[in-house]
Amino acid sequence: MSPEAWEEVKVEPGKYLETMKALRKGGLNQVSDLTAVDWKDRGVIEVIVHLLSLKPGEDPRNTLGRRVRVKTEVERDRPSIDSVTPLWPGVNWYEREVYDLFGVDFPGHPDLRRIMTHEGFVGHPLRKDFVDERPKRQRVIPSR
Amino acid sequence: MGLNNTDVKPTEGQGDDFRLGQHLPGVITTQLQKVINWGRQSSMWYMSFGLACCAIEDIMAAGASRYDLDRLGLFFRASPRQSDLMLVAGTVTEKMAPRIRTLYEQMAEPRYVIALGTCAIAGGPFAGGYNTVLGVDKIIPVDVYVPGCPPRPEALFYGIMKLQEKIRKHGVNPPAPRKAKTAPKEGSKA
Ligand code: SF4
Repeated sequence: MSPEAWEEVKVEPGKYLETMKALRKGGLNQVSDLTAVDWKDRGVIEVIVHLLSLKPGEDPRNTLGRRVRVKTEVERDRPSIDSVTPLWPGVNWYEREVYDLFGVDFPGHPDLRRIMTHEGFVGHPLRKDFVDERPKRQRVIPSR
Repeated sequence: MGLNNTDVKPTEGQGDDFRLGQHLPGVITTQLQKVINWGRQSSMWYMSFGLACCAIEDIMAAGASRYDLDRLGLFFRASPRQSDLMLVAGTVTEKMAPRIRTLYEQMAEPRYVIALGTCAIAGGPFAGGYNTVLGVDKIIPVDVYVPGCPPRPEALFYGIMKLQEKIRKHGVNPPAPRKAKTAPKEGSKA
């Protein structure tokens, strides 16, 4: 799929849920991905959602296979964005993953727990400033 | 197979091999220990623990018709309670570690473990990762290590033959497995 075929929407965190509701109603009935990027220099975490339409909806622009990318930037210190799991149940684990790896909070999510790392894990490993707190690994071949 | 009859005089050119019907028709005398171990080594039902790419090479390729693990008497069981051998193939994450331990403990004794691939041996290419266990022998005792990334199915077969050799040398009650290198910490913090 060529990159030009994507529509890209950038929204403020405050308008995010509203936009997503409209897009859902418009007929984009599948979330193919929900992920995030840590922009440490700018102090934001960008949450990116990829939407796909599998059937025509209310929106006349909405053809089969229409793809929309929604980008939102949240503050890096206290990242929080509304959950869209009530709109697309399938996005449940994606949000858990972003929570686990980036520490983004999703208010409204039914079951926001860690998913990739274990329950006692400290920190969010895909953050650029993540430091592995575990004791340094014992070297198999000692360095000289 | 090593069913030797020590009571029968070796016939010319036959070595120690016992030949059916030579002594008493339909009667084989052997040591119980040997029969039991022969049974154990020839029907190791394995629980495959495919965790990463090694599973494709060594569970799927080796199990499929070209290499055919079945002909060694190894059958895949989905339940730990029915299996004798655990094939750990792939990267062990800290999330998975307590589950592996639980499943190992659910297996009936005597139980054996083969660690397949550098990941299961020592963390492999992911050893520097934030979520990698540096070898499955940190969690459960391992009998045979099969190195490679991934090992070829032939290497797995060689590992299985080594394990069979080990089983053959057992008494009727196999020795207790040696302890894992480090005890797993409680629950999820392994
Ligand atoms: S040892 Fe290599 S092939 Fe096997 S699981 Fe690890 S990375 Fe994959």
